[in-house]
Amino acid sequence: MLRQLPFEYAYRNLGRSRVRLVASVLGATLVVLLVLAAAGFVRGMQLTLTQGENLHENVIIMSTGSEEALERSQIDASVAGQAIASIPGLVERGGVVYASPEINIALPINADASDTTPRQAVIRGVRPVAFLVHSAVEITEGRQPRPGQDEIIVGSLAATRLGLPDDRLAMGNTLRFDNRDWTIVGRFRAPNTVMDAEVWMPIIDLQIATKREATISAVVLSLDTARFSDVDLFAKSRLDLEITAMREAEYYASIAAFYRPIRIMVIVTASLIAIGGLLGGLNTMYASFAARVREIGTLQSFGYTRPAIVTSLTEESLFAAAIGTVIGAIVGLLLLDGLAVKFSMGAFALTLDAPVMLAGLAGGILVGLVGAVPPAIRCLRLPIPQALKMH
Amino acid sequence: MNTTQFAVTLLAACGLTIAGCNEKTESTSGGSSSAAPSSMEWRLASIPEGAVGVQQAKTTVSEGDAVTVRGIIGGRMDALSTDSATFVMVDSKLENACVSEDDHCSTPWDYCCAMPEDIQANSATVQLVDGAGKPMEFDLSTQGISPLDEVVVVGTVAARPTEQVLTIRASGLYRVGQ
Repeated sequence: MLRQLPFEYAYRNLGRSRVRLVASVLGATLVVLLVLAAAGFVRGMQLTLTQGENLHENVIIMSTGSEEALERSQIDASVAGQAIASIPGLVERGGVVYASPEINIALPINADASDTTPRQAVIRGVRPVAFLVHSAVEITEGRQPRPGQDEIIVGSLAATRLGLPDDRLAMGNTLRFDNRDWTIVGRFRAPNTVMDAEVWMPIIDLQIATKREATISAVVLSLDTARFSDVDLFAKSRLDLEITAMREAEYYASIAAFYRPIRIMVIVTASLIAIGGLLGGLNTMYASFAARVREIGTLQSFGYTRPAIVTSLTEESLFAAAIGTVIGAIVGLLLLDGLAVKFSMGAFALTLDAPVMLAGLAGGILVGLVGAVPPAIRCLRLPIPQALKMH
Repeated sequence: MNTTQFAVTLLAACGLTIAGCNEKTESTSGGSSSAAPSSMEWRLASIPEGAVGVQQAKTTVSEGDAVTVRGIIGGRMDALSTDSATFVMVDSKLENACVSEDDHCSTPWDYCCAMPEDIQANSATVQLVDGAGKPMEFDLSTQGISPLDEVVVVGTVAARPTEQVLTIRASGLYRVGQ
């Protein structure tokens, strides 16, 4: 009894119907692209909202009751100095203690005086120490803005957040808010963080612009030998300041949980469409194999077993799907990876990393498997004499 | 080419596509240990005598004084820390409307119905420390201590930067009704 059909048999059969080959390849390509887009969307949002990795453990001191939105927090501007004095073991380099007083606020912003399109920017008022505390932030062009000079620095996804072309936020250009123009003197990147879509400026300028000289939103501390419990004790002992302490990672994790229904919806939608693609591929294969029942009967009469024939038909389908999978993966990497998406917290980029690529590849291979096995098994049900009589 | 060779070729093609992709990993939030303490010396067997209310303590004690204070765990939503044996407590005499039958507050220990200035005047922070004066790092809720529990603590008064701040470094705690 012959064991299995040679691989060349499956390979040569691909060229029998070029239309069906193109349809199979295209089907696999589209399923892979869909899976990559959905998984890249979910992954990018998830990574951005979990803030990636920071060099130090950061803890945020904010006002009680603002644990879900820093924009609502207002604490006394003196908290930063009191925290530095009361909490030993904060990171300190070159005499600079890593304690960053910040204002987080969403403000309407315009491209220029004639721009009437409503745009909302997430603005963070900072001191130079913020660039040390937030180690993920890297200045890629220009310099930090100087106080009192109407200068700002923008993140690499700030243009997406504002709905403007990226070159509109080039060095030297301006943005308008608080009835005056602010010059972009630098650009930064903070991949996989919400900061990547923010506009940063000197905290004192923002305090004056928003008329809140006595308050800030939060103080972000970098811990060295200090522990979270030390910051928590400071916050709980200073009941007069009405502050609370929260790990930065936990703050963004709680926000990520808020967006979980959206991620689930994207996954469910993509799954339903992918199932539709799979069923389409299944239909194509049913038609393809149904036309070859006589050929299959002939192979059985030669002594090839049913498993051997199913394996050969599956090889055929998998080969076409694999071509589509590789094409889809390459197109996905070229077109989708890094594509910026705007959302309420700012913006994030579709992320096609190893787990996402693996999901896409698995989807394409599944198209080949699911598309072949059921139709092949069905075609083999007919007795050999009956199959040989089919036209 | 046989089936095995085909499978290997297919896997290699998939692997080439994956190669070179950056592998991003999620950051995991750090967390200090909340393991139970090795000894229970902090838990007092009987109610200490001579306890005063939080409000009285706040107006009379100074840094370094030995104190015994009685109060109710609460005064803010996160009254009980999860990373260390630290909590906020409120004078028992401060009215808490959140615990009335008509109120369906899900966090009645936050005293949200009381005026903030009243809470401040009647609150103190307690940090359990061991024999060496080192803060104990475990979650008190795993030891049967919950918000709205009435407790009596014995300890010394820590630094008081303002008269509104009262922090007690407690060596012992007694839960009323234990």
